[in-house]
Amino acid sequence: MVNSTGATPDQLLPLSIPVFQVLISLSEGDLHGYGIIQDIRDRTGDEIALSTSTLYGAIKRMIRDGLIEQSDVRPAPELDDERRRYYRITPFGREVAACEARRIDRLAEMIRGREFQARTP
Amino acid sequence: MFSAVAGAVLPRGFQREFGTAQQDAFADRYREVRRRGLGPTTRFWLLEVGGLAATAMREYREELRRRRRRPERRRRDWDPPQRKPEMLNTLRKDLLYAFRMIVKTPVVTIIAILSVALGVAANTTIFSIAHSWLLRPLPYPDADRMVMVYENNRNDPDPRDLASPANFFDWQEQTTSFDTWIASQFTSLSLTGIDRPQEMTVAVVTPNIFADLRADPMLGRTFAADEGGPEDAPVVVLSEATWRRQFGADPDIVNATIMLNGEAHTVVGVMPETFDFILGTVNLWIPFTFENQRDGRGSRYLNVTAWRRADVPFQRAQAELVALASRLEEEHPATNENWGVNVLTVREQFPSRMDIGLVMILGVVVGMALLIACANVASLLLAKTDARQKELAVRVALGAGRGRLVQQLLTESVVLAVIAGGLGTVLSIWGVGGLREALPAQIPRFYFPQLDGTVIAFSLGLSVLAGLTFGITPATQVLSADLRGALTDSTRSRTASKRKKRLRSAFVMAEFAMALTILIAAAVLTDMVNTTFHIDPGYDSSNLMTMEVRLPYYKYERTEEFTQFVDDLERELARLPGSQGAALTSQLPRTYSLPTSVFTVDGQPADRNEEPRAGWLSVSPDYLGTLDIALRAGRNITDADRAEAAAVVLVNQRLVDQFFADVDPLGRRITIQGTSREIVGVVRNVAQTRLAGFEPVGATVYFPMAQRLVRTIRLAIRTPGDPYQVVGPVQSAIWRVDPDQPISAVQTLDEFIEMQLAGPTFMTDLLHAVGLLALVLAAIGVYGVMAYTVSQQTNEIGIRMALGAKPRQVLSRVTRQGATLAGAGLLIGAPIAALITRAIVGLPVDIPGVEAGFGDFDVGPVLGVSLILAGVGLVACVLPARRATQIDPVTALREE
Repeated sequence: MVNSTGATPDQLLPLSIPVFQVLISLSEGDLHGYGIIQDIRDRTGDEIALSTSTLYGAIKRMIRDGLIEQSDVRPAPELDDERRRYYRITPFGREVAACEARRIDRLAEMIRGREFQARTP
Repeated sequence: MFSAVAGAVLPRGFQREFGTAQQDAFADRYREVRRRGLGPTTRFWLLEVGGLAATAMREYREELRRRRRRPERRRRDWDPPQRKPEMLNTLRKDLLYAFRMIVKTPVVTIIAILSVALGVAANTTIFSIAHSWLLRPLPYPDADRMVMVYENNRNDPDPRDLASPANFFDWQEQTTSFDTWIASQFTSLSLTGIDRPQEMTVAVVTPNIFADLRADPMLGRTFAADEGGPEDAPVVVLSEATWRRQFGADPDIVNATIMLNGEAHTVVGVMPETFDFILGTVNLWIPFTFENQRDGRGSRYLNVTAWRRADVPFQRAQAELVALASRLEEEHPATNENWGVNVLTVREQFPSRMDIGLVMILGVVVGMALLIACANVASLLLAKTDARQKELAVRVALGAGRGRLVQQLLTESVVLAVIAGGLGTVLSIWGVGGLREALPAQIPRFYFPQLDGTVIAFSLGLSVLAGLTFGITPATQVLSADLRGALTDSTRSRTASKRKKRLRSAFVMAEFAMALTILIAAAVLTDMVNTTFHIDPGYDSSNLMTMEVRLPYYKYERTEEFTQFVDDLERELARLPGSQGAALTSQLPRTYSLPTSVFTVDGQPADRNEEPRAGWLSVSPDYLGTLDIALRAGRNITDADRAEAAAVVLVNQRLVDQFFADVDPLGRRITIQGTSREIVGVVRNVAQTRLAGFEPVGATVYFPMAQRLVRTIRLAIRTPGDPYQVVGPVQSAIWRVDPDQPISAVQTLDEFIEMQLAGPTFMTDLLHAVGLLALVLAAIGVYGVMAYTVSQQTNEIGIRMALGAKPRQVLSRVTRQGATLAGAGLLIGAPIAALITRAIVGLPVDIPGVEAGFGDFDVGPVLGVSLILAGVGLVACVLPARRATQIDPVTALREE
């Protein structure tokens, strides 16, 4: 699979932390900007907090790279706020996220059993 | 406000596409963090500003790259581009050129660097506090789940009362929301068997403390889980500092025996310097289960720390404890009536709202100082760019794009700013060092600000931001300037456009507005500190030596032993050579706060809901005389007021004003601490507490020391000359009474007072420095702009004077221009300054018993500061104006 500029998923790796986190958040369903920040914070227990600028910077690049797109599907009207824009992960984005996950897995595999592996209390 | 800044900083394309969405997300997040308190809000702002800066730089870089790519595509056939090396080359060229330009105009450079460096240093210093108090993660495992549990007597304004062992055990055993509990009791023990007996601050702790804080010792071991029962052999863990200071860092200290309060303790381990418990720094730890005090519900002396379970939210855990406390209140009315519970997160424990408020105010003020510096440098650079128009025009003519020129000018600004930032970081070593000195020693070392990586990164990041801020206006001027005109018009091309003039005027106005705000903040804070320093304290603190003895429990248990010690000591002190009076007291003046007790006036019905309280101290007969405190009525305490004699008390004027307004207090009785006492004398109000002068003097009673024994006794000795000469003799006198008695806190009363006021004093000094900086910067700004304006008008002035204008007329014309700017700035600044002053005056003061703020808003400083600023502005206008009048009209005309 390639995106509009002809890049394969592997060429986009490794992903930056914000980009990967946004992909994970959107893999569950469409979200708007604030929802993405919330989801990342909840999921990581506040460890990763994105500023709104960082988020929209990442979104801009992700749309350019074809990882996500603006979503037309809106949730039930009573839950929705007219102004909000929702984002959706593209099939290519899913592929890229999966590649990144595999890459991290391989990395983790490499250090398993080594001395510098993090001690868990 | 944020969206305005974002709009200015982010590229337009980005704005069009995401502006509204980002604003909405920002607003939602902001509403959320606002609800969660100051800490999260501060973190949120830093995150957003940092993110904005990073994103802006990234977006611009992409934008530039995109723009550069377009023309290249057109050129491709004849000039195969080598993108990467070219880009690096450009940057290298820009940097080199920037350095050359910076060196070429040394005066501009030095002024710019100095002012920005000072601004950055002030900001870095304040940020270092914010960082260590609010942002840096706490060094405890699961700090977000950690809470402090206090009891809370509803009649007592201090909401942090210690807990009794029985209540502690009930909390631990009858709640389900918490998984770990630590109890600790702070006390002091005498370390003997070394050169001189020493007073040790000791935490008696439940043995699980080190395991639950996941703290490893640097030597030996910590406590076993079941250690610390009444039958166990006494063991102790030392702090690194104690190990180093008292035992010369003896590597074989483990298993050695030390004497504490006459009892042998085995040293089992030493904790590293990095271990620092939130409740304060101690010399050593002793394990104790408190099991044998299980039934003690009436006396409260435990600090309680707990971790709520990960699956229980804070509110639920808190609610469970509150419910339990009210159950215990019903079950044990004798000890628990009116006692509730108060659960604080570890972030609420420290710093207080007042501390945070002060830091925020300082933050705003230093931010403004930096903005002034930026405005100055911007107008300097603006003038410089004007002067360089020809050079720039030549470059355009030779094919440089305007974007390229903007980039070049911005590079120069940023290089300038980074140099200034480096210098600022170095200067902030002084600032942070001063802060560390000024913080009270009881605060855990963890909260002491440090110049660590984050702070330095902040400092440098701020410099870059400053560089972009002061660089952007002059740089973008290039875009609109008529450069081709500059090249072709061979005569005078430096005529400032209207737009530039307006910009410069705006800078000057803004500088005046901000300088006014800063100076007023400085003046108000100074005023507050001075109130405290210069009120008539009611005693004479000069030439007074003080020291402290704490009578250990193991030797002094019964009243006779205490009385004996006090009597012997008084007798020894009376014979002291070189003393003009020596007294004993339980509290020195300007102590942090006085202990208080409820009391009733005999014969007046007691109101259960509003029990009056009085601060108390226990003094020897010589106390008032030695400190030179005036007795207003009645008699002093005498040697005859012994334990077995009739119970008497002195009261201060405030107590009389409050409770005996219309009657003679002498001979009346009050019941306090269970005893009915006759009032025999009235003492004038004195500055007894640290913040006296800000806060009203409270009702106070003085017990004869023989009738109210205390364990911690402070000595005050009046000397004719240098107080330190009396230290040796006093120590010998104490050791003649008890050779094992440790002596601590040896200092003069003036030193003690100075130490108590070190925090506010340092803050004021810092603010003064920033205020002075702002004043100088604003003056330079006005002078620069006026001088420039006058030089632009040389020709015009020449014509006017040739046509017969008098120097006075020219002078007043030029001065009027400057005065208008300064006046407008002051008008704009006044409301901002008023807001800041209100914020300072309204700082919440969290001293027990004090509800009011710092006092009333005073219009004096505002007027004074405005006058000073106006004066400075005037001088800055008059100097260039005078020069203008001295120009020979002929020369002026020839300039053309």
